[in-house]
Amino acid sequence: MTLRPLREDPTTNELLRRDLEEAARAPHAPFDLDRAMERFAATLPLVPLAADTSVGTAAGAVKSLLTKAVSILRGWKGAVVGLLFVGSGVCLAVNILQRAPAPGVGQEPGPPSQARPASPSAAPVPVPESAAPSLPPAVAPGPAPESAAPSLPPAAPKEAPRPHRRIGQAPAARSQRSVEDTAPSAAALPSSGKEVRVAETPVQREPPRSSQSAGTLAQEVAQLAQVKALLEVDPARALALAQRGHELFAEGALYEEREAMALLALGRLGRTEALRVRAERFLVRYPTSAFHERIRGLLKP
Amino acid sequence: MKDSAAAAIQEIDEACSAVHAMGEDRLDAGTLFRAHGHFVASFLVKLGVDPSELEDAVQDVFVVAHQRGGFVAGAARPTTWLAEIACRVASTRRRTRRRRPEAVGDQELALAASPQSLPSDVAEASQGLRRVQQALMTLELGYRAVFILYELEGESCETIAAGLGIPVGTVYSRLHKARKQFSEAHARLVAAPARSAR
Repeated sequence: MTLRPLREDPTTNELLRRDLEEAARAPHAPFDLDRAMERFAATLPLVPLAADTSVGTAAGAVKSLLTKAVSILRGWKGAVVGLLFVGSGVCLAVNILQRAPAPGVGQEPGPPSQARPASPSAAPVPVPESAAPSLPPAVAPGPAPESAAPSLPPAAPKEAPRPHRRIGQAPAARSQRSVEDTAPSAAALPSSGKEVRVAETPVQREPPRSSQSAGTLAQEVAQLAQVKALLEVDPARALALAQRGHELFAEGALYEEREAMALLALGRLGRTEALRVRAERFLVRYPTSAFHERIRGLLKP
Repeated sequence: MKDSAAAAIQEIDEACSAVHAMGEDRLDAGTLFRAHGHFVASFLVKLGVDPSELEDAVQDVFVVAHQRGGFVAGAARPTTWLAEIACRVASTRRRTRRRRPEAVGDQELALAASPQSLPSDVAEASQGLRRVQQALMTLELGYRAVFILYELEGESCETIAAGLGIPVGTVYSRLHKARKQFSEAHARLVAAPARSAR
């Protein structure tokens, strides 16, 4: 006897068959695919990959990188700036493909706004001590007392949906402010004495965009890229910048990723107690996080 | 901006299609998202994911798909492969959030009705969809997934087995039990709609 769906079986109850037929023919659930894909493309470079990934994931990494580049460029009118941006993006993509992934880290391509030290397009940006505005004590460079560890913002509810479900809902004032504030925040942090190459990001140059959602997201991605860029060379500044990002983008899309970067920075700084407290909170709040294993690994002795 | 972003993503998709064409027969997460994002969203709703969490859950599914390196052609189809991930995501969310999965609202059901239908048809279809959803919720998640994929999505038992990573005999067994439970639940709902309606 051939198996066939109930709705095609004449012996099935008529009402049941009709209901199943209706359910099978019903259009897909209302879902904004474009918006979801935009968000996915922005988040993808920040997700660590499984160790056994290969061609497809490399393509995916390049794709997401370029997606963000094109997305941001579309909001710009300046062709010259656009060409510069594409150039640095291509250089970065080549670097990413040539770079061997760190064990347990996977391939994490940086956003197009981020230039790595090896990139020829990255202009060195010495961080002037005099340019640094006052910062909270918690963001001072170098190993700090455990008590100075910045805590998670109270705005993030414990069981609330992940904060990055609020793309495009940031108020206009926040968007405008983040354009102005994010730029100095990177250079504002006291330098640990060495020159760190951090390319200027579109956040620092671009005018306010017509679209709040895309603009805010692009700025947040760029700010997170700065955190990532600093993570290896100056974890104290990366930690401070991550905290700054939490403040700037309290309703942003990338809180989880930024907090993960902060935890990695705490691990690099050897601030085990602060790391333990924040990591445990992170693991409870984001049980399905892509960073879960990595954060758990930080807690192992 | 949304249109331009979508167009940008499409351009990149097309540009990158050559990249995966060079390698093995693999679909990356972005390509899967574009092709099957609606399917995953719909499947998650039928599994009982709260509509307010739908966007997050869809993101989770494709993040996992990305972490797994994308879909590699085999016995499974991309839809059944994604369905397995969606089941895990739905299960984890239900376990951690402790929310009732049956909470599918009237609005979602009405929107899910055929757009060309008359209002009276929509109301009737909405009732039918409600009965189906409520009957689905009486099934365990594993049974529910098999039932949805076979009865509503038209997948074969073989591709379901390959996608979910279970023997095909288990698919038949689950389907048999799921049909029985579903039919009984549906009959109860038809007999006592007022009592079952929320």
